[in-house]
Amino acid sequence: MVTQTENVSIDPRGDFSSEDLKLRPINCELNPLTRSDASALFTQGDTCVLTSMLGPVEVKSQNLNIEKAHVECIYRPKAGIPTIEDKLRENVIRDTCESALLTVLHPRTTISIQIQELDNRCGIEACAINGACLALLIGGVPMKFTIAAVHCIVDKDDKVVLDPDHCKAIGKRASFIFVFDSLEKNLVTVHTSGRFRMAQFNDAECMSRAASQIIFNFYRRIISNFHNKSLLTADTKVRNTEAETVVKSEPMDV
Amino acid sequence: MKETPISTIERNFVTQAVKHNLRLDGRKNDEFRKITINFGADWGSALVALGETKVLAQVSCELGVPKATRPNEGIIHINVELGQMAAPHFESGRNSELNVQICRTLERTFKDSRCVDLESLCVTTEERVWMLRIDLNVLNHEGNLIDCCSVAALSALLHFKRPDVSIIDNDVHIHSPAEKEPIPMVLHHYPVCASYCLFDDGRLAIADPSVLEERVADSALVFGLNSFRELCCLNLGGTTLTSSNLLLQCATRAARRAKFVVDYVKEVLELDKLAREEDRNSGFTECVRLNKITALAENRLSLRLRNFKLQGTDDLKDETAMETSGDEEVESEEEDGTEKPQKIVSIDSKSAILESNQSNIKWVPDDDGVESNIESICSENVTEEGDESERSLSQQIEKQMQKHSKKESKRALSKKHLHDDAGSDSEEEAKVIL
Repeated sequence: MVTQTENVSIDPRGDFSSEDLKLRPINCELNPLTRSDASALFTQGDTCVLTSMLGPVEVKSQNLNIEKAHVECIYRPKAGIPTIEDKLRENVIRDTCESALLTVLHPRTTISIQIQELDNRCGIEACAINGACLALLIGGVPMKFTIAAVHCIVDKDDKVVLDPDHCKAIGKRASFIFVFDSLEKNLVTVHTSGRFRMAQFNDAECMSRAASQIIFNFYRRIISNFHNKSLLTADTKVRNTEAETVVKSEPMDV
Repeated sequence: MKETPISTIERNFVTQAVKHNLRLDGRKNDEFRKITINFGADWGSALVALGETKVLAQVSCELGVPKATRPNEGIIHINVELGQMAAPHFESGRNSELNVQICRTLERTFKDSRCVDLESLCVTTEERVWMLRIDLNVLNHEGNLIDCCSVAALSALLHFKRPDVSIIDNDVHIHSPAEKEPIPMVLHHYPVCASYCLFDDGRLAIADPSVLEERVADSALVFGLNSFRELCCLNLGGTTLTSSNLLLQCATRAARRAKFVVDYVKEVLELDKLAREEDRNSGFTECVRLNKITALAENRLSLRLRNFKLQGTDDLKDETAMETSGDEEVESEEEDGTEKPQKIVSIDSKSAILESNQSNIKWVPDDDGVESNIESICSENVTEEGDESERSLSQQIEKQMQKHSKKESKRALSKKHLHDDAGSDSEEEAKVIL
């Protein structure tokens, strides 16, 4: 699945020029793998992750919970054995996904998320969370809301930069990952590192919240395309193309 | 999770079908799936797909202390990771039998064949050498992991460049890529694996087995060969010991396959090099943008009609690949739709033209396939290649077999009858060769 580069179309706050609210181009491919229940290849700029999910499936006895499903996350780095940093990422992603999932509906089961790093060019955690959310959406596990993660840094000139590429991130002073829900745009997760002022944090949060809408729009378009297509596959080609145009002409609402 | 068991019916169906020279995915007995290689943005990262089997390889290096027995040689470590992503029954972090088997076969193919110039990895003797690590992350397991892993390891090794070093006052300084151009690896020869599965008490061999075929088969046969038709590794697993004739036939075919694969790897590397020289974006992101990764999903065709083959019209494919609008959906999503052709245009006694519901795919009668399908792998002649190379290959196999039987004889007495079998087989083979 290939989509267009997504730029923010409406500026929700007056304080930011539209140049500030620019994410790197997002692309994704759904179900590239056959053995897992659902998978997504998610790219943001040059950062690329492959996420897959299984579940709800049989649970190991030590993880069994009679009240809700057990959520696990496995993060695989590209080279070498997983480091402590990777384990930390794993935990952040797991906790974030768990808060979005309706785990009470599937007690005594496991929902497992696997993440494989493909190219790390800054903002891999945000990319992994977005990819995991897409995989969970296609996997059809019930969710309270969808989640969108945005990466932000304070660069060497003490300026807040939204979703930088790896060249801009050289010499960064601090980095933030904000995860928002799709309903109220409330914060789900904040993960920060480095030194920053409170004002910078607030700036970064506002920018990220505005930018998260781009990601939610992207989800909506991808998923509607995906389901329209799979509903119509048995039909003739003529109907298929007709449906396509309907999807295309749908206005993008922010 | 536990692996789903195969029912007896399934097992019988596959074995019966193979006896009639039929395979579930419609391939011929000696037909391999399509292989595709994509390179990542970093040096030494490759995503290889063999049909739907997908493996990600990454080569990394660090400085370390050499072994005391070999003070001027670098060290290679191969690690295969079978996680839940590959198949639900795998568990990450635990070494399964399959994991060890793949690892060991690859070690024999790449390390024991001494294809990498280890001495070029030496920085200072007895003190510092480069330690290479090849990580193979299996992403999707649809059979024949070993072939896919070997191609991934080879292409990643060839793609890899290590940073340059200089020694200033006994201190090793590693240069960043911006300071000094990184150095590519030196490989003496390019080995790859080709595997076969044996059916019908070792009378029939099929190439590039799928998961189901792998699990049903009597035994598996893995050849590690380089493009010069030299045998690097031979692995015979399972219950049936094959006739030497079939073994030699498979070896000849595997050698041809190895040459084809190595040529393909070189071609793709050349393309990647050109792209990097022109400063075009490279990496997996670019592959996704150009729809390259799903394009290799081959429309998820799991069943194929016997006398027909799928032919994608190339010009159309390119057109769709270049389009980056949202309506270009993943072809793989259409599971039933693509598999069923829409209408039959004309019916002959033996053939018909079918139109699929996708514009870029045509069903065409498989003329040459009809004959070769009937032909059994056993009855085919193998004397197409030159006699000399044939003989050298057979000698190599004979050696490997004898080595194998010697090893067997050293084992416990309880396995003695097994050893007798192996011994007699290699003797028999020797007679055939003489």
